[in-house]
Amino acid sequence: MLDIRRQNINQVEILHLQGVLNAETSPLLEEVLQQISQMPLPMVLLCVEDLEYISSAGMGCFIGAIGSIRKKGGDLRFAGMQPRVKRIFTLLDMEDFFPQFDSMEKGLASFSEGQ
Amino acid sequence: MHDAFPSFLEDPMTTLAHQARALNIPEGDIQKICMEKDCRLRLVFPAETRQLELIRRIARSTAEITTGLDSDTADDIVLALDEACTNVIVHAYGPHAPDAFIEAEIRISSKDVTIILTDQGVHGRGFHPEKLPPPDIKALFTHPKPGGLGFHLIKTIMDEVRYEKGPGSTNRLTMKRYLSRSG
Repeated sequence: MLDIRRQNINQVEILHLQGVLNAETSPLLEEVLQQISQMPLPMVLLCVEDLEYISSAGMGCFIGAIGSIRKKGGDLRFAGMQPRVKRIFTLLDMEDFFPQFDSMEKGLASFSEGQ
Repeated sequence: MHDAFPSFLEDPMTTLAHQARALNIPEGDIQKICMEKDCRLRLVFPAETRQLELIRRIARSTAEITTGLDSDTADDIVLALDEACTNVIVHAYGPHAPDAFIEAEIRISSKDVTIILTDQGVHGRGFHPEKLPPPDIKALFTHPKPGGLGFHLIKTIMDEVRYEKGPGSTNRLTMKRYLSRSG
């Protein structure tokens, strides 16, 4: 239902999410983000091009992790967000909460450029 | 699927005289013209998160064939249903609730989509949606904490939301979304 593929490029933890992120699957992602947030400088890029659906339980994963990640100077960013997933950010008025990029490459570059 | 129907039949406000003229028949010959496309779907399922995806897919397929419902609105309504079911599973029943079930009724008429969710969760008695403040999204920037967004989403998506406590431990959430928000 939710597939999480993890990759590390230039100290950035890239998580490729595929499937459905709801109350059933969100604990999986929560656990991964919890691990990453314990790193000295957690930089996370969520590639969500293949994420089919997200509910508020999924949003809770991002909101729950972002505090400790930003406190350490890191960040959590998105790449390849499709309109169906973007919709929940709009409904919650949270479009500016997390930086978003069209592609994984641009998302990765944003970390090295210190944006 | 309803392309064969003249568009004026979809407007419940169209007068009988107008409909008769459009069909080129004497007004006195007809008593009533309406589109018979109401649909009522009832689902009863265990109150477990593993059911959420199945319910979402069934609701999405039903919404997809509804005349007057665009794809984005169908997605929104299905999201509201998911959020409501999640609230029942996580909050009304809680983690240790054997034999816990949810009944979901989806009614689609030419005017609206209504979802009625019924559960027997004892913790639902303490839920007072009218006292629920809207989430402070700006505050989440400085003090991020998850939770509390589900019911806010439901209220944003649906036009009418009503929560009732019935006899015993029965809780009922009724959510309605008009197909045409301007009307």
